[in-house]
Amino acid sequence: MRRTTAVLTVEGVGVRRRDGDASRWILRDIGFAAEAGEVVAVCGPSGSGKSTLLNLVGGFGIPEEGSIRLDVEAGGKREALRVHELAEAERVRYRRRHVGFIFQFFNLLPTLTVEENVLLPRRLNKLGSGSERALERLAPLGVGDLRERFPDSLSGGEQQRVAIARALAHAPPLVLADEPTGNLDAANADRVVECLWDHVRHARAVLVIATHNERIAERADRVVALR
Amino acid sequence: MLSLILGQLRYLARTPGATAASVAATALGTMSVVAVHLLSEDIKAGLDSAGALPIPGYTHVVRGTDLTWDAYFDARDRWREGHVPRVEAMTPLVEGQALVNGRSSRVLGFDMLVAGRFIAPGAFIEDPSTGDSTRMLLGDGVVAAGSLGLAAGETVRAGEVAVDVVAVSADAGNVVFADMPTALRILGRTGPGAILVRDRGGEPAIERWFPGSSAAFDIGTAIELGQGLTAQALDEAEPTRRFALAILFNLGALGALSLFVAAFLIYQASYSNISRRQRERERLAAIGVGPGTLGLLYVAEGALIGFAGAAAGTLLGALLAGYLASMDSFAMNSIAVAKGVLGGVGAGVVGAFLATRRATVMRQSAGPRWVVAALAATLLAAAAMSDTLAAAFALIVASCMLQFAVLMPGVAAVLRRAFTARMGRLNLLARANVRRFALLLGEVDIAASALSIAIAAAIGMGVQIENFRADFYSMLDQRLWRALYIESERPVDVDWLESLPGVTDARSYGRAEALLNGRPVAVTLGTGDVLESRRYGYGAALEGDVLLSEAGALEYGLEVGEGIEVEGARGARRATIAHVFSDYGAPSPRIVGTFTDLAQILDGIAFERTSVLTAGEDTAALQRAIGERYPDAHVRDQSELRALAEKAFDRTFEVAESLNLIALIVAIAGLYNALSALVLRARDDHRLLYAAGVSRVSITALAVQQNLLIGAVAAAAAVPLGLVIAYVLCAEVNPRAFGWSISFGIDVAAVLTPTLLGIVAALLAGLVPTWRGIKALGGAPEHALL
Repeated sequence: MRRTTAVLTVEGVGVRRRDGDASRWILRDIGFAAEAGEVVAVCGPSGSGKSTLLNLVGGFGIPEEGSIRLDVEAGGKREALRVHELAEAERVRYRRRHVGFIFQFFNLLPTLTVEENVLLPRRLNKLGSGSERALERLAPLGVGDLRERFPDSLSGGEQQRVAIARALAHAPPLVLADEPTGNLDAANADRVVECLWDHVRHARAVLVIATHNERIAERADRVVALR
Repeated sequence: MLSLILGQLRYLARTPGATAASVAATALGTMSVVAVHLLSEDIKAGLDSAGALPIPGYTHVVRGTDLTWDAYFDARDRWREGHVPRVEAMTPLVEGQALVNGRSSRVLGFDMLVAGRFIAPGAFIEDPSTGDSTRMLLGDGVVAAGSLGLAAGETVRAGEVAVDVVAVSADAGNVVFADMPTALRILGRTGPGAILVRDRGGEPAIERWFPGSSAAFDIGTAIELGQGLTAQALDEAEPTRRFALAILFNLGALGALSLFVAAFLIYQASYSNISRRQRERERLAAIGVGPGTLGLLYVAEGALIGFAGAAAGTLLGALLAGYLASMDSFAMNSIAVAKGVLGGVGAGVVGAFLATRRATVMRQSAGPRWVVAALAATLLAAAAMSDTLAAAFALIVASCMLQFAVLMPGVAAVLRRAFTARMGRLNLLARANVRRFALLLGEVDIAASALSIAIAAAIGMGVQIENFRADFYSMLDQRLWRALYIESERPVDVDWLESLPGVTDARSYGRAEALLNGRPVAVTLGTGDVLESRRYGYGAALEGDVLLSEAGALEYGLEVGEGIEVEGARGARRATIAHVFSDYGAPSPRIVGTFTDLAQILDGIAFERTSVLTAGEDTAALQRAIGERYPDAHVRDQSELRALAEKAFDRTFEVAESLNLIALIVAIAGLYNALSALVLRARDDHRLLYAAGVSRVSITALAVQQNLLIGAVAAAAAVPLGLVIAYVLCAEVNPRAFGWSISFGIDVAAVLTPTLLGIVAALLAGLVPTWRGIKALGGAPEHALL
């Protein structure tokens, strides 16, 4: 697996919601930084802008204020990505190569098997070798024997663990997780968090996790509190 | 209840795309029904004016060059004395051919008091007098059909007399209208030539509601007027008219198809809407709104959509009919309006009712499909045991039901299973895509079935029309040679005719009655050479054998190669049936043989007709020469009649093609609606792919592939059904309805055009909702993720 490390820097980010002529700030002057292998927990009540912040970091939009930068080092090559300045096509490429997503509602493609879902990011990045290693991650996640199954035959916890394997399959330097345990019972939530932490630290990725869960926030290296 | 209705209306307003598609599809369905009705009435009126009837409403005709005024008055007296109770009205008609300014023209003289259409305002293109059209004809003047190229005020030579053209009518054909004394003077006749009779039963109600449908029923029973006079039903007297009615009947079925497809569409749209509002239903149910009230609300919604669509469709139908028929005025009548409104609202109510049942009562159940499949199987079994027209149509309906209930869901299930397996060669996105397509196909099966049936109907009608066209032209070849026809009571000197300049061939025909194996048969006598045999679809000269009409073969159970006995008044003779020919709806058995073989055994041969083939186009000089030698004879130039017939039928075929297109457009609207609903459900997959770094263009391409595949499957499934429909129409419906079978051949263009159109239609139907859904992926950041 290629060794990639990254530093994420978010500075003074702000975005407004427009409603006709009126507008209000959803996020304003948000800033944080995270080194490779660190976890940033984004906390706050519903509607405080947690998902919006993840979307901006993921390149789904451009902030009206501030900057988002990802410094990536892969195979001795350094790349400084100024996400807030990227054009649409470049942001698509940025997400494909550098970001892994984990959603609250798992979001596996229902028409692909577990194995195919996990390998999808690798195939999109045309990464030939290392596929077996990506699939091997399924075993410690406890879903190694489900490779041929389709998502609709899995439980919620199983689906989320497969989603984690998929998010990490192409070894992205940045993983964004939006309430990954929000739809799981406590036992499954703990298991998912353990897996995520282990793999993020092992792969030297940056994990930004939006959560209401105080236990997760306590385990994070940094906490960004939104109101 | 009021708040529930208001909520319903708000929902319709909040989903303008789906609501507009449902209304538009109903409007298109209604439009085709109304347009077909108005066009059929127009074509029928055209047939009446170009045919025997300058006066509409008459159902039967007595014809004969030997018909005298005494015979007419005797018949009228018998009718007035109550001896012929079936007759409601009777009027003489003077008809014949005459040269008008050197051009062979049909002369029609009639009683002004019954010529209603000539009193109607706007009946003339040009009216130089006071506008009282009746008065114009109460003198020596004539009204000339527009296509004769004569001008009002002109004095023309008609037959042996000079007459003034008092007006020009909008009629087609070389027709000159006159009052009876003027017509008799022009034709040099003393007798009326024809008597028009109106059956008390009149035109059946079904004919008023479905123009052309009477061609499918046996209304052609003759009326005996006594003293040897028999009034033949017009359809029987004029096979080309019956042929045209047959086409109108098929057009009517095609118009109804669009409405049928619209009902499918409303069903699919209602089902999508109702399914989407499951949570709303559950909440309403939780606060005590019963399923009956809910169902009523959805059905009322369907009725509202149906009514809005019907109102727009009825107006559009009238405009379309006006455009297709090049009508000068906006035509509309109460039956067309009633058909439009009842059809639109009916489609809305039935579609919504069935969708409500499926969404609320039979959710997740395959029950209704099996019910439809069982019904179709029963229908097929019943149809196989009957040889009625209804059974032939039941075959088509059952085939369509099977397409909907068995074939399309079956294809979806097979594809779903096939695509679940590993597909090593396909990349993951393509793999996900084909599997999703198989899933989608199962979810839009109603819309896909509707599209498939619309394509199939277009193929069926297209293939039938092409075969119809081929048969129509063979009928013209058989009945209307490009030649001069001489009708004369005394034999014409064929050798003299052949010596005239420009004449390449001349031949006389005889007509007689005989017995075929002891049963009555009409006999047509000719030279029996190859040229003549070819007119009946037989490639060799007749040498001791005969040709038998299809009606004769069916009625007497005879086949090619069988030996028969032809018995005349002067003896009997054995012959072999060389070929069975299509007699285009003529119900009486007929054989065609040679003078050489049969003249010696027959008595009372009528030498009525001589055909003259010419080398050149201009036959005026020839007509004059024949007129001088045979002043009593009527000479007709068939080329002009043929050109008119071809023009009229080509227009009818164009109308059929337009209607096919409308049915397809309705199906496209249905698919648009279904795919719009699906795009909403595909949003999660699209967002996931977008998050994983797949561009919007690539996601669009994937979605377009899915739509294309849905169209391809619907189109592929449509081809066999279309050919079944075409075959049943040609080989079952036509013989049962009109007495002759259309030869069945597969016209590749007629199959490929609707098939490709259907695929493109599916592509277009999915394009807008797909792009709208995918465009939203790049929306505001607070909405973009899941």
